[in-house]
Amino acid sequence: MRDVLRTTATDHHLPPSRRIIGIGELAVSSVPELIIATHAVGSCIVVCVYDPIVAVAGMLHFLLPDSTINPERAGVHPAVFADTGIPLLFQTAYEHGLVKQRVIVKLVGGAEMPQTAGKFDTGRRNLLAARGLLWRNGVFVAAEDVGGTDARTVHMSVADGRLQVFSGRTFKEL
Amino acid sequence: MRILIADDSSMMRALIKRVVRLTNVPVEEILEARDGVEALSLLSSNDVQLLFTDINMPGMNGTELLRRLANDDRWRRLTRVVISTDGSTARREEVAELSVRCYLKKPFSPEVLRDVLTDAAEAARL
Amino acid sequence: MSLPMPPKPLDFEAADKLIVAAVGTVAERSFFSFVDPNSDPVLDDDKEWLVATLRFDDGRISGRLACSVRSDLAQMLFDSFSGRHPSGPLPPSHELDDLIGEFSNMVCGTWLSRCAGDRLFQLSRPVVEHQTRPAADERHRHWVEVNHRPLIIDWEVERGPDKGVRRSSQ
Repeated sequence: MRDVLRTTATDHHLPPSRRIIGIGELAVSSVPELIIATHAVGSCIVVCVYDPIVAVAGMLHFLLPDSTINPERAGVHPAVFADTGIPLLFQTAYEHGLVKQRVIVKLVGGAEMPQTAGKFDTGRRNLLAARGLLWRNGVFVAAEDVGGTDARTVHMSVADGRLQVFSGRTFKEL
Repeated sequence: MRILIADDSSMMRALIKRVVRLTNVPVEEILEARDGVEALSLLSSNDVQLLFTDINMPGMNGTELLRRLANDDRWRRLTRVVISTDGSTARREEVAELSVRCYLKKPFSPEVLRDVLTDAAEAARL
Repeated sequence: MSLPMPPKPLDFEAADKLIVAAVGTVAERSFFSFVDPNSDPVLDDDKEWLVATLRFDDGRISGRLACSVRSDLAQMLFDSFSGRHPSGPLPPSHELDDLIGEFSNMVCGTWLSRCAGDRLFQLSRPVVEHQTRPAADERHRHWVEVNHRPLIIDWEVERGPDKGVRRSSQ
């Protein structure tokens, strides 16, 4: 699918070390020198998964919680929605060798952007959708940087699974 | 480690069991009680290291259970965690002198329970 | 030796304003569900309701709270709490009842902890009934939507300072 980027350790011919994903996209990689990154994380949620034993990392940047509002779009772009994107992220990561019992999951985003504050609560709805889906599948959240009113940028290191989260005013490592 | 969960809600007991199973804490057995009387009976006949207890239970409630445990040297080494919807300062003060390691207020996320369990399990092991 | 301070008088109107927030806390934290206000409540006559009722009592003030949950929402809350997959076997009725009872227990406990945190309330075990309509309209009623499905909270004080409790000086 065109919204899924896969890179493996055999992709040495690829250009250097950064892969950017956009809204409604995901990436999974086992290339240790790679950084997976995404920008403009407002009310969206970024789900990051990592298996420290096989060093497989995955990142999903989803926009909306529930695909039933637009099944046609979910069929073409499953990574847009939490309920179709998160299973796809895990499935893709499994294909790279990630094992569920070892997975470390981190969440970023879910902000309430000033222009829509108090109207749709999309950030909170997205966060609840992600948490609920992970719990249903028996997966804990290890760390998160969520809420607030600032958009974020997330960089994930495939080598060790660490996240660097930038917002307008702050920098955090997860 | 053997864990006892005392709560009159079977679904709450099931939730706690699920978190225990998903957390990397070595557990030999998980026992369940619906009230303080059942909990005391199970504690008397099993070697339990960690107790999760609700407060509002029919018959003997959690506060009375904790009082009985605090007054009996047999359970000196039992690690006790309260899980209750009652987060009032009055209730917390009531149990403050009853050797409770942690007071976990419902509702809680699975991650919060996981963290409490991990901490309590470490205390129970020592 | 100083005597313990008596609890502050309970402002029932202020307490009423805290009910919906309590539902929101419970729904989000343990059920991963979003609560919206419901300004246009409509009863769907085809669906069954689970009504959980419990009593609260601190020796001076007593009352009851009823949580009416439409059956489809009850199933969603069960799935969210337990992690049951939608395609899995349906839970037995007594487990669904237990879950709705625990939901109402958490709402009541959260609410009382916030509006009367200096009081020691005992909560009764919730009684859950399956009905064709929600609970009877009490003095304090709140309609909300949880995951776009209706939920109603009714509560009433039965005994309290403004309910004719005899005072020792009279």
